[in-house]
Amino acid sequence: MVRIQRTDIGYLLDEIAQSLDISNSLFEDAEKKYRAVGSWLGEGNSPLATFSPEIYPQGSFLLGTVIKPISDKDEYDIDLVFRLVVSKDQITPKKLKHLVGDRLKANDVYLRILDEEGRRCWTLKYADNAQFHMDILPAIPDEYFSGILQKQGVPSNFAGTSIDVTDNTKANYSMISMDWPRCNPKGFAAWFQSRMLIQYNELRKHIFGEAYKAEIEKVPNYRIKTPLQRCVQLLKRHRDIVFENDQENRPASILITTLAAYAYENEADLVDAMINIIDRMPSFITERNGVSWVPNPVDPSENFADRWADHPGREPNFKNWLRKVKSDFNRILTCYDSDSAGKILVPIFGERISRSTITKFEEAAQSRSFNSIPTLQKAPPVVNITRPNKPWGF
Amino acid sequence: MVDLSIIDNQYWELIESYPELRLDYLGGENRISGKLIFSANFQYQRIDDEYIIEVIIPDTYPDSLPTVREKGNKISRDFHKYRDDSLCLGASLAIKLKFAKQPTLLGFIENCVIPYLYSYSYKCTYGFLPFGELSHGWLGVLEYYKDLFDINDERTILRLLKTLAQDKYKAHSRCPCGSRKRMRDCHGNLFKKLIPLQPTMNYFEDYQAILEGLKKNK
Repeated sequence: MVRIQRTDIGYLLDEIAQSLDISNSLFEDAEKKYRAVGSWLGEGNSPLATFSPEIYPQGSFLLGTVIKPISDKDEYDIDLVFRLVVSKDQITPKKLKHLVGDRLKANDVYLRILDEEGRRCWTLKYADNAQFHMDILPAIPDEYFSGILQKQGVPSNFAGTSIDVTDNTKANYSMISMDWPRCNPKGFAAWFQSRMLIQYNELRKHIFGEAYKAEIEKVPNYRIKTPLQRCVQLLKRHRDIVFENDQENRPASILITTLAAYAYENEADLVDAMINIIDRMPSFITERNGVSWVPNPVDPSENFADRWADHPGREPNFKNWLRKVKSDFNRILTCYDSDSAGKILVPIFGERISRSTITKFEEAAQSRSFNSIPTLQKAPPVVNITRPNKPWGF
Repeated sequence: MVDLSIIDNQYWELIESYPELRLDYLGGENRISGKLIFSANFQYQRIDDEYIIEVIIPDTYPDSLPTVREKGNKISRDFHKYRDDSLCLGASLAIKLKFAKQPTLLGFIENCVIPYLYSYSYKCTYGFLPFGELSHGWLGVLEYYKDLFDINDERTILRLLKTLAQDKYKAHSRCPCGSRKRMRDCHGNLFKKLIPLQPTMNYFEDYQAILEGLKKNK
């Protein structure tokens, strides 16, 4: 039994978040695989090579907020963008989609693991020791929209990476059109990075020294995790456990990630970050004409909460989930020793992760006491300060 | 010469609760140093923190009080410290009063040092000082006496200080604070605690400093 102080709570949460990370080897494997796909699609004899192709991850792999699925049998999703430089007046969405699909099918290995054509993506289902799906999103740049965003005040380094994508349920799918669905995963990632930049640089200096440069497009340096990223991981895990049996109405990761990033203020301490993020997140859900809005920070006309309108269960679910996060986190703050911590952490984060984290904590405490001057395992008494002196000085 | 056995006994009592502090005797000084790991509560705000400190116990202990320095570079240079870098735990009379209630090393650490450190940790966490602070110099001393006597008027404070400096305590005479009550029913009890605490010279010096300071301000 080891006493838990407030500073230890940050350690426990950090350990839990680390247990949610996917392993380094899995990460490197994913990176190898997606570079291979990019290579096949865009290099050598590929008919697409002349279109300045680029492949890059988007979503949680780019943001550094991937978490393990609840059960070992579930899979990871890696979202990739495969961008060619072609203009909308030269190609229909359908043609773009099939250019990519055909090239994938021209490779026996990919042909075998290619899933049915998706609405926007092609999906490769890797089923070796790493269970993941790779969603490949064909895209072209959208310079026109970049211009509009910049006029709206979005900084150019966030706006300039806008892309247009295809959607085979749209009416103009097979036509030349100026109106493609658009998004900006690189811009979003750059914004996310900007929300935690101070902490990111501090940690990077600490781990690698001044000379290290990390480029945002690489599957990000998984060894650097800021409190913002850890908080997002913990929130997603909390959501996974709460909504284990109601996947349909669960809060969307993009909402959790965006609201957390709006709320984060580069706090260095994980517990402080959690407290402030949980407190402030709800205030970033705004209302426009009676509709709830969570604006996309790099496209203010896009509402990340737009799905709430068609699924009436989702908005109250989200708000109730936020309330539960707050009360669960307050309970976490009351952990005072390792024996009782399990009762608090297990229902929130899951049995295995909580138990192994508590064990690690107890072992670390043991070794600390063995290595130092023999001390009593007792914790200091809590001093009650009454009628204190005011500090004074010359 | 201080009785070493007093210090040793008090040290053993201290490390029951704060085991990471070591006692050594270096260059003619008794010194306690190491990590002070504490938990403290003030108005339901609990703070757990640790600081690396060094406490020099003077030869005239316990008649004079130890000086404390923070060695871990955690406390910023311009936070309540003396010119020699020792921590300014409060107005000197305030510390003497506190120490008098529990005149041991444990008492000193828990009643004088920990609240100061708690205050700093609190400020770092929440952005403000939980028990406020005194102004620097003579003004802080004046503020302290105002608090202590619960009197706002400066001339009254000066009158009280003059009485302390002259050691003129007579239970049946009227209290110098002007309340028209007898001393023993007014500030008498406080006087009884204050007079033995420090030489009357110290009260006289405080009186002078405040008088000068007020004059300059006019």
